[in-house]
Amino acid sequence: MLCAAGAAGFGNLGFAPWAVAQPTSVHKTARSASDAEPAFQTLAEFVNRSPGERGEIDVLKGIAKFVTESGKDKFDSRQPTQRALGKVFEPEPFDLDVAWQPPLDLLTVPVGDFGVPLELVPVGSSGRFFPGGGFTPGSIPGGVAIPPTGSTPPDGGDPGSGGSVPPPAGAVPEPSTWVLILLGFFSAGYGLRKRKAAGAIDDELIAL
Amino acid sequence: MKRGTLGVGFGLSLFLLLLSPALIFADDARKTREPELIDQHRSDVLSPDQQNDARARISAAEAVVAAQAGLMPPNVKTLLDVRESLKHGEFVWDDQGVPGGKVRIWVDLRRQTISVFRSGHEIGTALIAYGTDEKETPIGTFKVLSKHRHYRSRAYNAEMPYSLFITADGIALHSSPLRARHATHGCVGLPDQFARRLFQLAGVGTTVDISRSDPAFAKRIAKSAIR
Repeated sequence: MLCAAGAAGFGNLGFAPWAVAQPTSVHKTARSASDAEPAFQTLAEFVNRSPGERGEIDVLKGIAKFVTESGKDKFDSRQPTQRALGKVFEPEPFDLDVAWQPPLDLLTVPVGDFGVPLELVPVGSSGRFFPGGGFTPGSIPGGVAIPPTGSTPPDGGDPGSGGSVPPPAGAVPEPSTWVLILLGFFSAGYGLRKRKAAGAIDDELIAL
Repeated sequence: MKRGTLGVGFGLSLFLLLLSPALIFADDARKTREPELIDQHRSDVLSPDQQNDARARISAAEAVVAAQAGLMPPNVKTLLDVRESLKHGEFVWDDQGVPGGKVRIWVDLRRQTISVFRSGHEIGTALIAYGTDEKETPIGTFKVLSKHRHYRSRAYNAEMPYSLFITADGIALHSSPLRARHATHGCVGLPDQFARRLFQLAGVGTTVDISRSDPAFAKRIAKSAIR
């Protein structure tokens, strides 16, 4: 592929460019044409863009999780370079398998948030409290307070979220959306104009 | 005033009102790095006119040896004047003043880089992620078979925005989260905004070359650089 001729001026590169024209690099302002290094300066800079060969790897698995390491990467490709209008909210992760455990209170008769006295389940039973109603007795030391049948936990039985998640606000519409909006308004205007013209004709006919 | 005219005027006003935020917050498509990195020049070598030039001319000799070493396609005329080592996630895109013409995408797996050429002039470059040893990115010359703005890999349950498929078995160039240690299942991962620009530029039939350049040659050339 490359002949290691070691010709004068190009020996350090290991090949002789006798088959090509003399280089005319734009960077060659203060150096002679026989000096090898600046003739390939542009190419060297091109090569030096690269960090080199890849080392140990982590295979991207499934849905990539964008873990932000603030301050480490100035131009993180995962960070948007454009600002979105309004706020964009990431929904809280919700794990259906997480059991909701009501607080234990053995000193007093617990009263639910609805003001209804709660009953204690005897110690030694096993099971989990499922959100939204229904309880399977569980091996919870000291018993567990449950509301009477028909009532639900105050937070609606959703252990995964601390509250309602506001819906994400829309960002700048796509250009296709703009075109549709514009077409809609133009067609509405055209329709109004046509109806008005038809109404004018009807008026003329009535006048006749 | 006629109702139709009113309707048209209202529509136009609303359109401009919706358009204004995009104009205000539009990113600079030319540069994605800090200005001092891109505009940095060595005043001891370049004249003031050359310092304003964002491109580096490549000599015929350089173009020949670079093509032989698998660094770039043949007959390249100018390169982007990038004098800093890139990091994963960074990219440079500058097609100002570059004539329209045939687009060619060159991927070098050994150097983890992608370069986009139009009419022999480099207009974009970035670092990439590519396949593991078990799921290698294929080497060769390909054509873009299809484009998908939003694609989801059923095999790996992964998003593939701005996908440019080059093989029938699912190898594509697409936007991907990038880190120095990241590898894919065969696709070529690109920075998101770079992938967006490439997606807009490339079409079905665009040539994509995936190579593994000669390491010995690149090492010799790198050592010869004047810093």
